[in-house]
Amino acid sequence: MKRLFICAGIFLFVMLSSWMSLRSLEKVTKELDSAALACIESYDKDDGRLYDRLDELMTCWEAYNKKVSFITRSSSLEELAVSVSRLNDLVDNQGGDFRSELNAIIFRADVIYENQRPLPQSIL
Amino acid sequence: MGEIALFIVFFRAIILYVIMIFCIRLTGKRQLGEFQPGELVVTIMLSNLATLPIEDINIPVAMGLVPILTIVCLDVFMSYISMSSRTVRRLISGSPKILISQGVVDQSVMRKLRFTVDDLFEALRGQQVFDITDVQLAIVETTGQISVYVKKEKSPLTLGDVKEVDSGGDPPLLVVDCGTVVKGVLSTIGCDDKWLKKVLKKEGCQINDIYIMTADSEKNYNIIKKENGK
Repeated sequence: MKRLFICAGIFLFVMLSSWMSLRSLEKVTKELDSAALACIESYDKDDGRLYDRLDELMTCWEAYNKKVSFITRSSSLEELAVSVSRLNDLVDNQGGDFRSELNAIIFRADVIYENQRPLPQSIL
Repeated sequence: MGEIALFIVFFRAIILYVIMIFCIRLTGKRQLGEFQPGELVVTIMLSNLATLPIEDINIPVAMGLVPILTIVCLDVFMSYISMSSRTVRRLISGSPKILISQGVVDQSVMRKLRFTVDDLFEALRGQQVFDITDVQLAIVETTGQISVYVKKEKSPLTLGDVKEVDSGGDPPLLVVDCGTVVKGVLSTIGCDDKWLKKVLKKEGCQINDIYIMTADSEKNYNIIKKENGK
């Protein structure tokens, strides 16, 4: 019976930690998305706050990277890391690459989150 | 990255080794012997899942741990359900089948189990039976093993057949291991520290001088002393 209780505890722990990791991923993804959207907004409006917003995005990215590396393949994160690392170089260019790189970050972060959700198409 | 990756694999191997030992202990000793169908499935899946995060550093350890722990827990839950329900037990593990009765092979069971004559003879030879007519009863267990009960007249003679023998007498147990008394053994064989001290005095040695000491419930003992006192 002791073994049954241990397993019930482990089972609950696994379920709870899976659910919490999903919630945590949702939270950091939303933060990263809104930071990226704020950068796009500042870039489009040219309101002079772009560099501050970019710093905020970098902070969000660090928190995101730290948390998500525990639950997703590192290759998915590498693609995001490459996009984030290019932002500082692209910010002064006027070709629109900065904007598209930010959109790519939002898209990739959303894909990582969607892949973690226990939807029937993901499970099957 | 090379050195870092090697260290990652090194630490992951340690973590998963510890977790796997814990999991195998959790599933119980049955897992280590003959496999029931469900246990075989669990063992195959666990061994495969454990190696994935070790080999591929792209995969987080959690991706290996979550399925391992989930499968082990499910296995333990299923074993408890099987214990309380015969129907579930039969569904998961199947039921034993009588293959030979009174020396006659049940050919329909042979076909059902897809047993060839070679398989049958091989299993019988494994049980020291070389003539099929010597078999009173042969049963295919749920583990796939064949248990054979030989006809009385073909069974080997035992001491019990020719005279009355004392049914007691457990085998001797290890009492002292490299100078240390094994915990709980003295009470198991019905002895105590006083008896041990008396034996040591009689043999003229200290406990630290003993390499192996075994004793049984009849208080018969055997002592092997350490070589050169090491």
